[in-house]
Amino acid sequence: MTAPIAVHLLTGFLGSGKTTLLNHMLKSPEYADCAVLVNEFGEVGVDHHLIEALQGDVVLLPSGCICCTVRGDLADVIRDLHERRDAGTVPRFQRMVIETTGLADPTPVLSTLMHERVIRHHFCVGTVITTVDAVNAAATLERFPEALKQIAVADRIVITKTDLAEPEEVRALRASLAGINAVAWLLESAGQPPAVALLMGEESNECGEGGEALPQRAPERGPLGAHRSLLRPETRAHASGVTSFTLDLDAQVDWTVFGVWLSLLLHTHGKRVLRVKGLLDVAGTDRPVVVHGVQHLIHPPSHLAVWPAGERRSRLVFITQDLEPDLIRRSLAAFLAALAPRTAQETVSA
Amino acid sequence: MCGLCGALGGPAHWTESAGRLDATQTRRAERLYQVRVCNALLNTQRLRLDDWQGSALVLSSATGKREVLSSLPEVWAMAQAMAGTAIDPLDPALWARLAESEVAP
Repeated sequence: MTAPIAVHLLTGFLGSGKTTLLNHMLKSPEYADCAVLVNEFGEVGVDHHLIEALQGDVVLLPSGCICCTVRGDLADVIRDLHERRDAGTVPRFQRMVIETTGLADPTPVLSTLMHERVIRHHFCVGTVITTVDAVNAAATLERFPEALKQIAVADRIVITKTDLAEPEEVRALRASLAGINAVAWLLESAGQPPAVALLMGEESNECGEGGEALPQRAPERGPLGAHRSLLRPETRAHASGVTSFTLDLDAQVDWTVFGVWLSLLLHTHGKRVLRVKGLLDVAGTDRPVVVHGVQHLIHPPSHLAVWPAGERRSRLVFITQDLEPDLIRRSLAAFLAALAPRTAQETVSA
Repeated sequence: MCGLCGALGGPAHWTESAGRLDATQTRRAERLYQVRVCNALLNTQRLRLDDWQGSALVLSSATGKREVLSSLPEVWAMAQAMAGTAIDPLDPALWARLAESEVAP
């Protein structure tokens, strides 16, 4: 079976530099094996570089990159492009980038990729790249909840126009973004965009067994019982109520109880759990299990070959909105303590 | 595909994916364990979950209402519909009740 094609999402609020980044992708040889799905050819100025119009809304660019507009249903476009790739009427692209509109919530696109019955067998979710304008970000975040969500679901945040902003502004923005999303990589772009490897490097998502380690922090200890869980707010919460925090669990985790707990949490509070990401030390295996979810969408968990450098322990980063971090910590601890007798036995006997 | 009804199966729920790579228990045993864990929660609403041939889940109410379901999210949604209220994992009263309950071995 051939490896699934990674699909990367490019999102960002209106005027945040998304099109500039797209323009670079369409011209650069680094993206030669890429299919890029855009909203409009006109916006990215593709006409000047067009060398070959393929059938329908697809064009082949000098760089070797395929560019395609999405006019109807996204799933139809992806399926159609995949069929043409198999038939050899378009180059065999190895990656795909989808541009979302400035006001769009990226979650439905992720849902299509993960659940559409044809697409999910041939494609996998890569990274979510969000552009943020260094000059106007603060005002945008204050006024538009859509922008906040685009940041919360990002794996890579590209801060654009840093050459137009004061260094102090950029530093403050970085701190604010880290407070909203502690798991994303913060990249800067002033003219030259970040390298492909930084934007689309393999990581611990459903595409494979990548090895992105979560930020390492000094362990703290607290008398919280058998399933001691430690809670660390990354920074102060954003004014919107969006905050990142980390849960560390000392004991091994019973996978079944954890799954039941998280599925119930997402059912009752899914709209306010913007993101869950981390590694679990699951009872019964020596390999870390990667948990990665965006709202109610949880990627199929995968195993890393080895634990990243540092200690072996479960560590989950949550990004929530208007949810008390301590409640989540206590809830997970209560579920594991009450419902996971097997885990306790295995931990003791190990 | 189900040989009896011809229904196409959906994607497996993420909790059914290899959470335990070196699992010492069969997939069926894991599934039954998951049902027992769910029942510890559902009992608080006087509901009960049963496995059906490893391919479906049956949620029953105390008044005899039964629904055939396929995944955990469906179970929680139907449990909320049957009981008229959601099981809130962030409710400290629920934690206290769970602490008194036992998951059958």
